Formats: sequence, C-alpha cells, structure tokens
Amino acid sequence: MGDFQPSIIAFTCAWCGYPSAVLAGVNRIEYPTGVNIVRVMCTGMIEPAYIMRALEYGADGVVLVGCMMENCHYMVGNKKAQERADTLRPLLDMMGIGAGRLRTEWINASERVRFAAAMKDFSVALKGLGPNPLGRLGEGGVEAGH
Amino acid sequence: MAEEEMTGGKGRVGVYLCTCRGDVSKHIDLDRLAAELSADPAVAFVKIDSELCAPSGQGALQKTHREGRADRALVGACTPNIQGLIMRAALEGAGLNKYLYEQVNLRELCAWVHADREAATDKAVRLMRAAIARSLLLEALEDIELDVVPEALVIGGGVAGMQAALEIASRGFAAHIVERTGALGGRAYKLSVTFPTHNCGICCMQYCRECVLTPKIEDVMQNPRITVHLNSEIETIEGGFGDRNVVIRTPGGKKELRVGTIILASGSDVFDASRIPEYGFGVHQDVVTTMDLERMLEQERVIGGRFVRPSDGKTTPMTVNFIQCVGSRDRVKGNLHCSLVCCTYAIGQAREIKKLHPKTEVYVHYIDLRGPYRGFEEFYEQAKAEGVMFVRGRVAEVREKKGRLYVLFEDTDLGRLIDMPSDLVVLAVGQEPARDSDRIAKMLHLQLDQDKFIKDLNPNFPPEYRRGVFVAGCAEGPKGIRYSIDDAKTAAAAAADLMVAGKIRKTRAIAVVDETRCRGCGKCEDVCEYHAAKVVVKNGRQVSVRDPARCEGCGVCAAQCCNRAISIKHNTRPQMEALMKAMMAKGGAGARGKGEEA
Repeated sequence: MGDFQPSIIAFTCAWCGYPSAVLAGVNRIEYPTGVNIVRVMCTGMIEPAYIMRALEYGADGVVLVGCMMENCHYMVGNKKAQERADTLRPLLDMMGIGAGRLRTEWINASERVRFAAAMKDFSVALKGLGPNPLGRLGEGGVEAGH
Repeated sequence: MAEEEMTGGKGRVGVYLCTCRGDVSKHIDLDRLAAELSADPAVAFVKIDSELCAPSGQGALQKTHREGRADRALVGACTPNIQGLIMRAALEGAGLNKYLYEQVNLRELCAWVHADREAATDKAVRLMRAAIARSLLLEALEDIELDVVPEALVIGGGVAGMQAALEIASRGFAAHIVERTGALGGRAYKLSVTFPTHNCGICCMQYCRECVLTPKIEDVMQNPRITVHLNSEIETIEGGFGDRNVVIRTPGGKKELRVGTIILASGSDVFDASRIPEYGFGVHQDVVTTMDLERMLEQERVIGGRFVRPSDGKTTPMTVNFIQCVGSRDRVKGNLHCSLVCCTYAIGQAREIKKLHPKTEVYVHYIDLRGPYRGFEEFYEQAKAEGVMFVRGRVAEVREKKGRLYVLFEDTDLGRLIDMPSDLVVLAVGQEPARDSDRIAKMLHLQLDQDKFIKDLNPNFPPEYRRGVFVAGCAEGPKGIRYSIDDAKTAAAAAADLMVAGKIRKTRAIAVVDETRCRGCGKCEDVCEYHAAKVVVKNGRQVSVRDPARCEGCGVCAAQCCNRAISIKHNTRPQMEALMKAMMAKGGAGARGKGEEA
C-alpha cells in the first residue's frame, strides 16, 4: 500500500480546465503521473454514468475541472456538472466507493498553479482513501457481471 | 533523434510521434512508447519525427498519409489548439477527414510536468492507448456551412464602434451602431488633450473648439451604409451563427434587426472614486476625478470661463495634487489591473494646467509611471521641463483641516511623511468593466476574464470558434484611443471577411437526437442556453430537434437526457467509454477497450 499511486481521470473543459493544465505544463509545474487528462468541450457533458464508468474501469478518483462558476463558456455547463456531482456523491458513499473519489474544481484558464495544486491535493487525499474498491474487482470482475 | 518508423499490424490508426526537437523525447522514452504502440493490432505504423509542425514535418505527415496504410491519424505531440491545427490542416491537405484526426498532448500534459522519465513514459503509453481506442470509433464528418447575413451590428458608438462601422461600410456592408447615450464618440469625445500630440491630434475626436465638428462623427453620420441608433439599447439577441435577430429599444419604439456579424464595442466605465473613502471624493468639493477636471478645463479652454475651484467657484487653484492609480492596481478597494491610460492622460492634464496657469504648482503622486507608448518618455520629460512635479508614493489620505484640504503622503524618494495643503485634488480614476457588459456578454455567450472584462477568444483559433462575434476596444480591457481604433479595425476586418465569404463553417460536433428514444419531455429545451433544442410534433409524437446553426456542442442536454436519446457527434458515449477504459487498463498491449460493451 505504501507505493500506491492513485490513478485519476480529470475531465477538463476545453476552455478553462484544459488550458490551465496546458499552462501548468508550459510552466513545468509538476503533479503526479497518475493524473490522466481527458479533454471535453464542457464539464456539463459529463453525465453521472461517465463518472461511474471511470470508477468501474478502475480510476481511483474522478475530477471535473471547468470554468469558474458564473463564467462557464457555455453559460451553465459547470453549474449542471456541479449539481450532478452533488447528487452523485452521497450515492458513492452508499455504494461503498466513497464520496471523496469525486471532486469538482472551477478555475480560470490562467490558473496553472491552482490546477497543479488541485491535482496534487486530490492525489494525496486518494492515497488516504486507498485503491478504489471497484478497481479491485479487477479485469473481468465487473465485465463478468454483464 | 532521426526519423524512424516501426510497422505495427494491419491496423487502421497511423500514429505520429513528435520529439518536439527534444522537448518531448528528453522526458519521455519515445522509442519504448513507439515499440509498445506498434504491438497494438489497431496500429498501422508508428512514425517519429523531430518537428511535425515544421514544413518538413508537415510534408512527412502528408507523404505518409498518402501512402494509404492508415485511414485515421493519431498525433502524439503538443497541444491540439495551436500547432495541432497546423498538423491537422496538413493531413487534411493529404485527404484526411479532419474528424478522423486525434491528438494527444504529450508535451504539456506529460513530458513537461513529470520528472520521472519512466513514469512519464508509462503515462504516455496510457494516454496514447486511450486515444487509439477513441480514434477507432471516430466517424468521418463534414463541417456545417451556414450563410452569413451581410449586415453587421456594432454595439457601442465610441471610437472603437465608429471605426468598426466605418471599416465595415468601406467594404460595402451595412452596419448598425447601437449607442446607449445620445451622442457618438464615447469617452474619447470628452477628452481635451490627448497623448502624444497634447492637443486635438491623433484621432480628432475632442470636444474642443478646433474640431467640435469632428470629421469622424460626420463620416459616420454621412455614410449611407451606416445606421446610427442613439439612445438605444439592446433588448435581445437571438439566433445562431451568421444569422441573428436583434431587438433594440429606441426612443421611437422597438426595432428589429437581422445581422450576420456582431462587433461588441461597449467600452468600459470609469472607477467610482467614492469607493475609496480616504480620498474624500463626494465629501470635499475640491476633490474631483480626472473626468470632472476635463469639464473644468473645458470651461477655460473652450467655453470662455475660468478654471476655478469647485468649492468657491472663484479662485484659481494654486496647488493641484494628482493622485494616480485610483481604483487601479489596488486589490483591496479597487481593481487589480492597471488601467494603462491614466499616467498618460494625467500628465497631459497636468501640463494643460501648467500651460493655462504657470504659477499653479502641480504635483503628480504616482506609484510607477507607466506609459509603454512611443513618445511617452518625451511627453513626460516635457512635463517635468514645464514644471510639473512628480512625487513617488501612494497617497494615504485627503483630509480637511480648518477649511483647507491636506494631502498626506510619504515621499518614498525622500523617505519623508508630508502633509501638504492643497487647493484641488484630482483623482486619476481607472477603467473598469462597463456596468451592463455582463448582460450583453451573456446574450452573446461570451465569457468574462478575471477582471470581468469581456474575453475575446484567442485569435489563433479557427474563425468559426468566434461565431461571428468580435470584441473591440475597452470592452475587452483598458486601452488607449489608438489601440481601441486598431482593435476595431482588426475586428471589423474579421467580420467583413465572413460577410465577403458569405458562409461560415461550424463544427459538426454538435448534439443529435435519436428520435426513436426521445419521448419529448423537453428537459433538453430547458437546459439549452442557446435555444438550440426544441420539442416539436413529428409523425404524431413529440420529439426534440436541434437547430444546427445554434447548437454549440456543449453536451449539457445530452447529459441531462434520461433516455440517452441525445448524443454529441465526435464525443459520443462509445468513444468516451473506450477512451476511459483504455486509459485505466492495467497491463500490457491489447488491454484496449473495444467500445460500448453494455
């Protein structure tokens, strides 16, 4: 467990989340290699099923990174994403997965430092939570259920 | 690293890796990455190049693609936004459908953020495998092409708006200026001395006798292609790319306009100085803003009166203190940003006072003097030569003692605290976002930046990203007159280009509805900010339809639909799931997802 490196899927919106990640790169701000960035147009397109899928496939944590509230490129996408995440979190607890495995971060395109810090912080928190129990079902475990 | 190639199986994905002249290969073992990827049966080949975005790299991309061993392309290089567009265009030139192009940002998202080369390479393998999985499910699509109505709406009749309208008219298109106040010219019209001529000069926009009939306003008013709507406000803007219906409220009632492009030149507001109570604006009559000072100077310069203290209306101020950065560069009580123009205009006003009343002592209290313009240094030196005194240090307070104003400050050059009696205190107020700009921004679906100015998109992005809406002048952030004018020219040129072409291209990556699954509940209609979703009756049942001209592909409706009737082209559920599955797969090659299993 000591060398457990959480794997994270970070859904970043094309307008703020992704550019902030790119800027973190340009400024060489390190964060854990377990962070895997998926570029989407808007965090508002991330339906709860995607988050469940990500966890099912073995992600230890999922984070949605979008524009600042009240300043979504698509007006309300981040608000919708936040609502959905808020609904899903208690369910994650009920399922024994843990609400702490889902986070949302609303940041500006220029906030490279905040982006990297959020990723580091999430990774540390997930280390505390340990591996995703769904992931332990392993390859085939979940699939076999289908 | 020399160009090399590894041949994979009989797959369909052509993989191109870029060393970025060592920037990527230094941190990621591209040879190992290439070897692992070539083992994937979906991969046709893996090619490594040192500079895919350079002409040589583009040539190599085209040559390889023309050989026809792969029907889709995956590039592992830098960010897809800037150079990615170049590489995609190169491949398009060789016959690739642009929707079959996929790019992984190995540089910014991997190479540059991880010090451990082994771990970074592992991550690169994961990211590339995930992209391969998605790539296999990509569909070839065609862009949507829409007609552009050959008329433009210009919001705001300041210098930027007027210039934009003139440019558009000169290209032969009609322009409508909608101006909230009763006159064209905006704030520039109210300034009497402008940099660098220290006179009516650069744009002939000043309210001084020399050019009270400013040629530019005349130009605008006389131009048959420009319609000016004064005392008018935008009520609603509806419609999509290239064709929008605008309702404006004019003194003569509501009017409807149909336009293809919109230039937003709504300008900025000046900072409300009463928000900094220490300076006593609104309390002491002899504390005025630079905009008030313009009117006071105008009295003597233009109208024939005298420049006097507002408190008594008789005496000429013998000591004038300018306080710079009021509301600017002040995180606590004002705005963090620098307003860019205040140093310049305050020096101009200080010189003007000195010119009219050489015996008056004029002090300018500054933190830094910022005037990154050609000629500013000469302008400043001239002011010093004319006797304007510059004092470094932020003013702490303006107080009244026994009927006199005192300005308390530390002269940081002398290291002394000084309490100076003053006859007139002038606050050099900065620019801040116009009060209504967030409403207009919302209507046009534009974002605001960190200072709440309207954010225009990076002009490097393809023109369709801007949807026929362009921001010019101070609406975008503080600007001087000539920069606003330049900005307006650029925006107008871009708008005119669209109207000349008569067509606008728009991504096909938008929402589509599976009408067999749709039950017409209308939830998508509720959440769509663009009014692109609409429930209609089709073949006797209610179904939701999309207006492709309005849909921006954000996917909010797709996520809202409990029947999974809506999907986003180019970002479909199977594509997303395959991507996530491959990304999370543990173990070696072949652990790639195969799309939707459920």
